Amino acid sequence: MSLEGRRILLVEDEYFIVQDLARAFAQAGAEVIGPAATVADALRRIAATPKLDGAVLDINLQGEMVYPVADALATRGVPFVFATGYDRENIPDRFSARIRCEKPVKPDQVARALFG
Amino acid sequence: MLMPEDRTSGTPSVMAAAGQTARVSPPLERFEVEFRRRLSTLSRVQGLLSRSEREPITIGMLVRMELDAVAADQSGRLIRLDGPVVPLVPGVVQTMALALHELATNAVKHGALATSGAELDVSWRVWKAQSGSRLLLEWVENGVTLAPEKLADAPAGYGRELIEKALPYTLGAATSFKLKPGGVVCTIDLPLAASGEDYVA
Repeated sequence: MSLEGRRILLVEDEYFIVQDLARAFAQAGAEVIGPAATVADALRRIAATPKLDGAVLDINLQGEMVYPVADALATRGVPFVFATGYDRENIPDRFSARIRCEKPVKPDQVARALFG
Repeated sequence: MLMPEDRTSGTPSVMAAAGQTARVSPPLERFEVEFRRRLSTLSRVQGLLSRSEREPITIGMLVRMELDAVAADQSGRLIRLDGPVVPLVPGVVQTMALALHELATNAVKHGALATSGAELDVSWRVWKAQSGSRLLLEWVENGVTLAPEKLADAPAGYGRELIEKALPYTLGAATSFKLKPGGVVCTIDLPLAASGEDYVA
């Protein structure tokens, strides 16, 4: 259940949130990929990262939905969680089995969800 | 030109909660004030967004809204706003409003809106980059006499980080924030549409 040495992609558009998130994951031993604020940036980083162990996906990126990123990860078999805020977004059915973590997302929560 | 605005609409329960949570010790007291004014900005933005289907939100509306919110009395002060009608996509409205709010708050505390005879020019225009249309906004204060110690340490913290770091990260903006002898000069150069799309006036 450790994040030690795991490469985790962080997708989150809010700068101040992602600062805390990246710090927490780094402290937990993860290697942070990103962070990415947009779908395009996240897809670029996925393509550029051969070994990726997991991802945390904020759903709404300044009005742009993160689902193409989730699809790209699913295609590669990379596990991920959705980070959800107070507005319970309607996640498409194909992701209904995916775990949602309430913000603020904690590394140990993600470790349990992805590698527990 | 600028009308006082009703600041009580929006999210009163959140604001009440923030008020109750803060205890009366100096750092927290300041936290509460800062937190409340940012929440006020967010609630003004929610008000705008709730009407945005009928009336697109423009950069001019945001600038005026945030100046209204800090400058109840502008007698003897000169504010010039200049720019075309530029609609913004909802995704950029909140972060831009927070940035303009930080600039306005700084101006009213230390800058052009706190100094008699000082001037504030806010201008914007649309320009065409290879990647698509962009909005260039310039916030220029003039005639502000800044004490050397003010120049050295103010304004730091949240507002500056928001403009210098959060706008580039969240909105893909190019920004610069400078304290010049006459006051703050800030530029925000913002993509108007997602890459590939084009902006239509």
